[in-house]
Amino acid sequence: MAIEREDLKEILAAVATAGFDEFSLEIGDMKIHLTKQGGAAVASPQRGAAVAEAPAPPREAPAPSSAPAASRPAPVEAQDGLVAVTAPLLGTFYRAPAPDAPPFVDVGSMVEPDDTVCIIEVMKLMNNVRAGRRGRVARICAENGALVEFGQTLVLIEPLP
Amino acid sequence: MRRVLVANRGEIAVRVIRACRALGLESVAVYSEADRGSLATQLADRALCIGPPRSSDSYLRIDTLVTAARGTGCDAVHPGYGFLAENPAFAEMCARSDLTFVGPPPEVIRLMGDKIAARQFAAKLGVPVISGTEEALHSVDEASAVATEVGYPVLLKAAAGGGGRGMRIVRGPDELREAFERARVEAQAAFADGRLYVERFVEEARHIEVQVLADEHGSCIHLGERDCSLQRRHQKLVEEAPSPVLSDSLRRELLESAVTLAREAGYRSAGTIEFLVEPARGRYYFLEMNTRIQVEHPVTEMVTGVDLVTEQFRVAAGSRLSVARDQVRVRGHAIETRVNAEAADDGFRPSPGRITSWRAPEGEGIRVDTHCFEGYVVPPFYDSLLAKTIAFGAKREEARTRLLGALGRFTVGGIQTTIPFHRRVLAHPDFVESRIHTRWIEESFLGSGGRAS
Repeated sequence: MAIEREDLKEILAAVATAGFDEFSLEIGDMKIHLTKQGGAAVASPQRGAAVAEAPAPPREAPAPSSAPAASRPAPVEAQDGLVAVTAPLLGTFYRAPAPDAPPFVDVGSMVEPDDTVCIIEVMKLMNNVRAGRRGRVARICAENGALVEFGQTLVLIEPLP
Repeated sequence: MRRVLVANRGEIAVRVIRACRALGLESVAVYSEADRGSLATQLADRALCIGPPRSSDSYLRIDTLVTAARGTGCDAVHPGYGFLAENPAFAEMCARSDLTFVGPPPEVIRLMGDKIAARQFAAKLGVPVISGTEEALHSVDEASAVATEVGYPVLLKAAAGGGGRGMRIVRGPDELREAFERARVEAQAAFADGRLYVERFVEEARHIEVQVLADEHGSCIHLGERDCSLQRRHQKLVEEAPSPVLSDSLRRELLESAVTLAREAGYRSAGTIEFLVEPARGRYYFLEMNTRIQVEHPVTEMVTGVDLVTEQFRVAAGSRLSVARDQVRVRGHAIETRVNAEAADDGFRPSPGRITSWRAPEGEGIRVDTHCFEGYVVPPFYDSLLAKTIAFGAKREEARTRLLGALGRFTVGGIQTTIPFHRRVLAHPDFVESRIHTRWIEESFLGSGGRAS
């Protein structure tokens, strides 16, 4: 299968408007690799959803050795064009609407921008966190029931056009 | 008590974390995105990002702070000053969540937070209050009647008061209607409570406040007074202890009134009772009580040797105060200046930005409380306090010259600060002889040459 000029135009247009910086395509011995100039110029947060580039890991002193429950996952950095869904507020991270319910998403799940990917609970108030973009869930970065900070990466999504 | 959430930022967060360390307590700092990498987050055992820069989305969010405290295994919360320090709902929510609030009981915060109720409370105890209204004013006509009775000029104040907001001097009847409306709107906007009251305006008064400490074991003591008469637009700029102008008899009365008020209110923790004083006439009047640690607490620490934040923790943990009344001695003199990120020569315009160089003074009798360092970016979202520079001396003059010297050695690059302004104030003959009052900065100093000299 060959790539026509029109196909290339379409691919370029799709990459230009998508929220990632690099794009690779291999079909047979045909390879396309695209890199956006200025790198980090990823789309601004969309429609009230908590989507942004993974923030720089916060500078923190080590936790007290006797730190209880709230274990902190290592900061996650978006990679390979993945886009981070970050915590819109500090609270407890839940993957499912109820303890015995199936999780909102798993690795591999397809999501639409308005789909809920997880919940942040703040004093019994459940806040739905939306995917913010169309794509495939590549990674879940926080542990169910863990305290997450404002801006912490919760889910990585591989954007799809 | 083992682990403390420090629900504040800036220099007071650093001050509280240092107290935690001294007591062997672990500390958890919280920060907004604008405070990422701040000194408090570096010094604390752990730091959590609680939200975006706007304080209503971060430092003022009760639910977030309580969740952060619970989620990190804290058993106590220190509110610092400002933000939620005098919010009874926050104190109550902490109690309901099994967190020890390092401060007084919510009922006392609520009583003293309503300035009209506090005034009535003081009057009932026989503590002098400035003549004015007993109840909130319902209309401008009511305000007019009271103003005529007590005599102009009068001061319109917000019941939910504080920080000079909703406060207006009215010089005559023709100014009343407009001032009333504007004060009401301002109070409503600032405190969501537009209730006003009126007091006779005391000209050339001094602001003198008493530091108190109380525990749950029946001990309620004072630690002397602080004179905070140097203000600009009701914001304190220079504070000292003891007051250079109080006679022994007036001082005794003031201190006793303060202790009576605190004891009768069921106070616990560190608190401050503010008075307006007319030294020449030997009169003093209750203004309000602040139910928190104050910015200017170091001057009291310097002259008494008592660590007030440590005492707050002791009281909150249910222990006794470490000092008894007869053990507290005021020795020497201390003066504090608030170094702000402001261009004093340009109407005190805020001057946030990156600090490119920072050299704070050290030396005999000098203390600097700060959260700043070289490379730190002063964010534009919060108050402009950079550092409190405090000098101690055997006598006032020694403290004054030490402070003047320390400010001369204090160099800050990249942003404007009030250091040059403070040096001119400290060198002014009126300050040297303490011939000042709460409006001296605006009426005398800035008006005549203070700026040019």
